Amino acid sequence: MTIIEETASAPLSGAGDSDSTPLLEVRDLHVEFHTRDGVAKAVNGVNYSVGAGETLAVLGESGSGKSVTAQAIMGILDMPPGKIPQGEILYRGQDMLTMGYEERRKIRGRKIAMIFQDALSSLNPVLTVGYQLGEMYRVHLGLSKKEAKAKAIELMDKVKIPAAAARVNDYPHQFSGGMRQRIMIAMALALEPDLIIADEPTTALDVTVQAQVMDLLAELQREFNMGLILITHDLGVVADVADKIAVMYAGRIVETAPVHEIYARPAHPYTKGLLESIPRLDQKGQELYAIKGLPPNLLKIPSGCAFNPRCPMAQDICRSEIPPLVQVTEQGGAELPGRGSACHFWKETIHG
Amino acid sequence: MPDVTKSKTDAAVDAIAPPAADAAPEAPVAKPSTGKPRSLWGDAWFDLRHRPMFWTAAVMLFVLLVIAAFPGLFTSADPRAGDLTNHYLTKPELGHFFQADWFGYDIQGRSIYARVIHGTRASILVGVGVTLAITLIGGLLGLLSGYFGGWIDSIISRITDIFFGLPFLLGTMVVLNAFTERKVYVVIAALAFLGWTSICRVMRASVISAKQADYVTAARALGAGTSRMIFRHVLPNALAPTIVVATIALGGFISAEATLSYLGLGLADPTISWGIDISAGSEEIRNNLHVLIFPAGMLFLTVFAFIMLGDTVRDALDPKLR
Amino acid sequence: MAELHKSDEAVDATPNVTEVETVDAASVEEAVAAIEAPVERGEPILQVRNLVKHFPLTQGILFKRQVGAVKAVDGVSFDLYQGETLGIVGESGCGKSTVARLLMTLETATAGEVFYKGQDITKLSGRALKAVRRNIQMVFQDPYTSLNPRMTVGDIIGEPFEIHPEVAPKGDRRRKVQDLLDVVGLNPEYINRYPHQFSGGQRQRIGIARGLALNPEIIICDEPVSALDVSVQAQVINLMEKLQDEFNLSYVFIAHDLSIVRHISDRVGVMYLGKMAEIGSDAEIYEHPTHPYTQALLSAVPVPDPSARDHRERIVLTGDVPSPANPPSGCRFRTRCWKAEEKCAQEEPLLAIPTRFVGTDTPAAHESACHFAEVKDVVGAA
Repeated sequence: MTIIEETASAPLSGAGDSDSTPLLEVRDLHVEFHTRDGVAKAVNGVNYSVGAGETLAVLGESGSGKSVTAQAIMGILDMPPGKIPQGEILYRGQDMLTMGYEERRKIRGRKIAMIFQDALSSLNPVLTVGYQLGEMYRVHLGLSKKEAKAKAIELMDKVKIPAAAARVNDYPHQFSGGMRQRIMIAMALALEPDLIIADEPTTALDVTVQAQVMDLLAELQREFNMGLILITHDLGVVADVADKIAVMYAGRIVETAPVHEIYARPAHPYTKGLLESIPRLDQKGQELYAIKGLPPNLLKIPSGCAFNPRCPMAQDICRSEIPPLVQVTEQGGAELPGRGSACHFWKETIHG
Repeated sequence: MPDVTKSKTDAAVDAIAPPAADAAPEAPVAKPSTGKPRSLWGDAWFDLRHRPMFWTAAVMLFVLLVIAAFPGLFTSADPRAGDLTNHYLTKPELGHFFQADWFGYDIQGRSIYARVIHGTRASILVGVGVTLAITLIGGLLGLLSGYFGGWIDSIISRITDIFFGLPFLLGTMVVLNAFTERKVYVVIAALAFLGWTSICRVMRASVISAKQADYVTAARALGAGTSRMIFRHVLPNALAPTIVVATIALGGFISAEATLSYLGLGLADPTISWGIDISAGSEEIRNNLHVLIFPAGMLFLTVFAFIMLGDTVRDALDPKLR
Repeated sequence: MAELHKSDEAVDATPNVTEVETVDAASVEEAVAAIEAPVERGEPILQVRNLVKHFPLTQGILFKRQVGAVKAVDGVSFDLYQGETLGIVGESGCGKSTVARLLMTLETATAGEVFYKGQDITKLSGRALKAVRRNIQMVFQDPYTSLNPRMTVGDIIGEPFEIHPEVAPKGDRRRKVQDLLDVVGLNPEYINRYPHQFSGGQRQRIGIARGLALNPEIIICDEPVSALDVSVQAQVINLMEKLQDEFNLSYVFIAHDLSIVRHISDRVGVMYLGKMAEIGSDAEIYEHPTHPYTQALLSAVPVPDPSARDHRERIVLTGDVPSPANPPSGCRFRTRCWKAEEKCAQEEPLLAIPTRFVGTDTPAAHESACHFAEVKDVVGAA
């Protein structure tokens, strides 16, 4: 039984631009929040990596730690109450948590950009869209006002905002939700980052607009060969765009897999339950399968496997021992590349 | 990058700290220890209890209230009795705790300690009285204006604007000038007359936001009547900001009373007030500082205690900080 | 569950809009009596006719004058049959939530009627309206704002009894509230707790318990699960289906999530810019949609199946929904429709069975407001 958590933290020789170094790697990250009622353990040892041109979908419900991990990467956690007691966030092999402020600032925003769910509150309402887009060029690249505006129009064209030249002087509230999300994408793209972190980028949008925005994001990713971390709770969105998936629960990754395999053969009871609990558009089923119980309280994460109170397969070992993320294999023992499950009974889950 | 970090992380903290989630019946999870009923007021009280600043303010105010209610417990000296021959501007005897000569004597040979103690009642009465009055007037008008909207709101809002436009101290002085005998209740009425506007505005705003909550719609859909809507649903949820503004304003009214009395337009002899004494003391500022410093210090402590209380109450009630 | 779906056939055969048998109540007593009368399963219980709600746009502070109107709901008609679930789907701004508020008489309709057992509830007031309100309840979207944070769970669920004291005598109420908590799957001992001590899913159960308290006949659900976590959504949906069977409820289920609507609904109406674009049984709408908007909407839903990624045809609409203050002439969807022709700009298509399908026995023969209606299976289920 190979424990992936260990292989993932194998030493990286020669930090730099070697091909084997992923664009971004998160290693054994822990984040906790000190609140009045106690310490909320939001992230409890997360490992994942993204390469150029790759889309990693981080799937989880509220409180799973998916957004907090992203905030830790971007350095926008409120500290305090947040705290990172251990872990590394490696950008091209360099740990961002230990590097100096200036160095870190150069990576965040310029090399790694983030797109948020709520585009309206992420844009400054009193500045024109063109000014806000141009700001990136004026501040980071020192372009003149005029040049920055030309660049802003170019960006708006790139994210397919119709009549960009005419709308560059409009204010955020004059755009529809979908258009505002495009502006957010344009802003993230401005400095041609290597990696984009999109936190529920389409959740606030209507279905028909959602499809447009997701398509745009995928297209731009291909064009610039960027890495993309897509944080979402929507299994449908993931299926449409992701290459690999990491499922999070109570601050841990409970399953990782290439996108095609996880839907066909989940190897963790939580993933399996989630897949069975969503109604399908193309079939009308009988009663929905429902995962019993409630998402865990991060102030009191159950002992052993955090999912054990809700798990139909839970045994005594699940209540006492935290299952490590282990390599998933075929029945014959052949390794399934990229697949891991943090379940004591992953064999029973995947092979029935 | 626009500044979004604040709200985003707030949301994240909300998300990662679910409210004392407990077991649904289908999940046999042990009952959590935080399982007892805890109202929002209870939460606020819990919060207050854990703040040293609250206790500091509370102890100070308690002592002040006792002084105001029973000044005789603290001094037996007559604050109005002057003895010019023996005590004309006698310096304080700082070792004589609670004695008549502790803080020295003023220009008329009266015990400053006794006057400071006896002046407490007027200040506290004015502060509390004005605050109660403006909370009632302003709160009621704000509630009506915010809840009913339409022309009622238009009229009340315009009246508020007019009163808001009048300069507070100047206006109060003009009003007080109309009275020859300026007792405590006259000063309270004069200060309340112009002081209710900010409470009204705060109340109106919080009523409007409380009114839009889904639970108010839910009550309406059930067929609830106006009084139930107001007193069960809107008012309890709109009260917190008003309480905060009122507590903080209380200290301000005590200062205002002192200011008016200093100017000779507020309370007047024979009422004992710190403002009057500060006024008298200011004439001796060069040679006999003690005449000024004790009433002024007492005023400062009182106002400070009320403002500190207001601050802690605001922190405890402000939902954004939770 | 099984029993619920048996009624599909009966419902399928009935048209969307049936004739209204109005009740002319001479007195309040008669009106209340009509409201209290039972309705047979499969008979229309709620009949909505040409419902219109315009929100005036005004200018000026003191002397307000109307400069236009947001046409949130602009002529919507449908029937709700006893015991069924009618799903209403549409994107934000299509007017579906306004329809819910109109059905709850939380807004006054600009025009049109809502007949509840033959009584036009838009014109009722006083005791008759209160009787209607007892029978039509609502479940809200946001479990965090729909419960008064300063009231205990017992007070929240018990409030309906205080407003309608005739339903339960005073001594009985506490026990009734505990029964209701039990019915929605919460521990009856939670009666003295406050809403913030519960998670989102539990709060939504409390909201449902409040809706059930008066033993209503209709529950209007406005996005009841969209604020909940995926794993909790299924619990709440199952609960609502169980309660429907147990208490013989009729649901109007408003949502933007098409998969959930398909799962729970017997019939589905698709709204666009204040109008009903298409309405029919769930199979008719999902497997044989004839309105281009329905087709585009269905094709845009991400399907949790990566193998479908490549061979699924996706209709990506261009542009955004026009403003309801200034909707396009003729067909409202024409500005985003790939089939639009001259006729669409001039003539408003009526919601009716398309002429070419009238009399045919195909599932395409359901009401659709399009001049060029034709079947297109976009979900790939047929």
